[in-house]
Amino acid sequence: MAMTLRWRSTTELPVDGSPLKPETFRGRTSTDAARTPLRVGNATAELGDLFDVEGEADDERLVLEGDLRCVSAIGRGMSTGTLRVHGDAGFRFAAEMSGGTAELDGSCRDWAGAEMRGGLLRIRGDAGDGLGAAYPGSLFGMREGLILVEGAAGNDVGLQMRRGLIAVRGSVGACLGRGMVAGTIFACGPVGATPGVGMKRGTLILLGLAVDPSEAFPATFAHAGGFAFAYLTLYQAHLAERGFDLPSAVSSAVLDRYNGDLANGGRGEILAPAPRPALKVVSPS
Amino acid sequence: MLLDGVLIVDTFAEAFPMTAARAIVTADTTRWAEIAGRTVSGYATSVIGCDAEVAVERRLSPRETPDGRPGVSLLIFAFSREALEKALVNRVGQCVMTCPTTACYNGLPVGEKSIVVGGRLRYFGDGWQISKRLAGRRYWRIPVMDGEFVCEEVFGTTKGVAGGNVIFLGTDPAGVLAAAEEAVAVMRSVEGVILPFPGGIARSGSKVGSKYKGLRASSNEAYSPGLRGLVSTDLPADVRCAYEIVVDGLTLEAVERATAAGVRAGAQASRGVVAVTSGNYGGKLGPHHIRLHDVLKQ
Repeated sequence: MAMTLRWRSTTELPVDGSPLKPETFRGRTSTDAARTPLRVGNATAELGDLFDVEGEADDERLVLEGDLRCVSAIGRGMSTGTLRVHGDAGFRFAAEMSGGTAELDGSCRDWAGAEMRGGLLRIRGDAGDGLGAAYPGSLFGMREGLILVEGAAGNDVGLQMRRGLIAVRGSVGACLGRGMVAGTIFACGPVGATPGVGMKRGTLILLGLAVDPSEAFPATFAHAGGFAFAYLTLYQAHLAERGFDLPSAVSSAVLDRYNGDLANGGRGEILAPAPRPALKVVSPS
Repeated sequence: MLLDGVLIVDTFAEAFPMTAARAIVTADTTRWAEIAGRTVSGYATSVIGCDAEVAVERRLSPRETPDGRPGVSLLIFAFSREALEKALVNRVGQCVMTCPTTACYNGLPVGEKSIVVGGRLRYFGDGWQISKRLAGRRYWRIPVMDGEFVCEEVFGTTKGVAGGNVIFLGTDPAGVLAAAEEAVAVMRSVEGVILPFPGGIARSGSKVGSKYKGLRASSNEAYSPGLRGLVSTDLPADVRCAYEIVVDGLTLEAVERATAAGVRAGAQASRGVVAVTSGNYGGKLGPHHIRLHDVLKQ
């Protein structure tokens, strides 16, 4: 049986939800769990002051319910078990997680999965800026694991990503994969400005690119030509096993490859469908 | 024991352990996958004289391969993991990487006893190779002239069984060969085995050693009909030829199933087959004794 925490507080102060992860409650009764201290604003409260606590988390399953937009860092650093949140979450959702599964049936604010080291993070709504990114001053962003976003994501997705896989169904903001060191990002929807800028290695697969790559990509990317990439089928199957379907033609489609960022070694790549030829209006005369 | 009027000799094949790997080779078309499979299997009949014993296990449909393209499954056998790694790296590097549109994946579970294949071939990329790690497995994308060659870094190995064999003895060489060919077709349908000799059949069965110094194996004169009267023979009086089918398998059970299937399919008195037997070395060579009578009862 899972332990369920139902939000009942009306506070609008920021709450540090770092302890809200399955391992915190392993082997504890709901009464004991309700005494867990949480930072609220500049004071400390008990979990039971903010949530109704039910059940036990012996099987390492933790469920949170409610509008948790003011609760940040839920699932931060979790390493095992299953965390499920029904509702919206605040900043740094499942950031720095190293194992287990974090699922959000809602949207979250910035830095979700930031500097993640392993496990699966699934967001069924939208994610903010800095998804799987490096914190300011850090050398690397996401280092391992899988992030799936069914909605849209903001700017700086995969900033300085070191390894791992991110797939976003909806649109993504500017600077996708900025300064990426390695790893793979699928963006199925429209993409903001300058994807891949400063990337050293790694792969961006932009299946929903709505604009001409020559306008969207940094000038420091070189067009290499169109190729079919059989290895994309491995990703397609991997994602499909986790309930994230890519367009079926992705494995056989010819995608244009852009090598870059040439300003940073040029060993990264952006794969995107070839731009549609522009229609020419020919005068009948 | 008689099967369809053919004597099944009460003897056993003496098989021995060999380290095995399975490679899945895919390509844009079945034709190119098969070309790659055949090329990898070239000069790989017996470890007496080759670096490994290799053959195509079966064709694979796009649904059965990791990258959704048609492919073939290959089994590779060698005496040690080190020898297997060396043989596989050489063969994949020379025969698969060079073959248009192909990719090569591991087909066995990876454990402690694994070998590095793509991880060695990656250096062909001269620094432009790309690593992709997915679900705990690493793949190398090596730039080649038609795009890229994808090869899995690590291949799993297992302790397989090699040297299973069936020998058909008969009076009509053409008829016995046809019966042996039918046995080959049936045996190849068993999953987890290969028949590494040409067309699955060997005509130069060997014995251990030779009168010539340094030769590890030499003609098995007891099964050579032309030497009747000169040497002690194991052939019945009217037998004019013997054809041997050698079976390597991932498990003893697979080799036994293939052996039984082969004996049943090839024991055709109407084609001049008079007896079916197996080669062994008195039980001193290998720990696995595949008794013909026993496998036929299973």
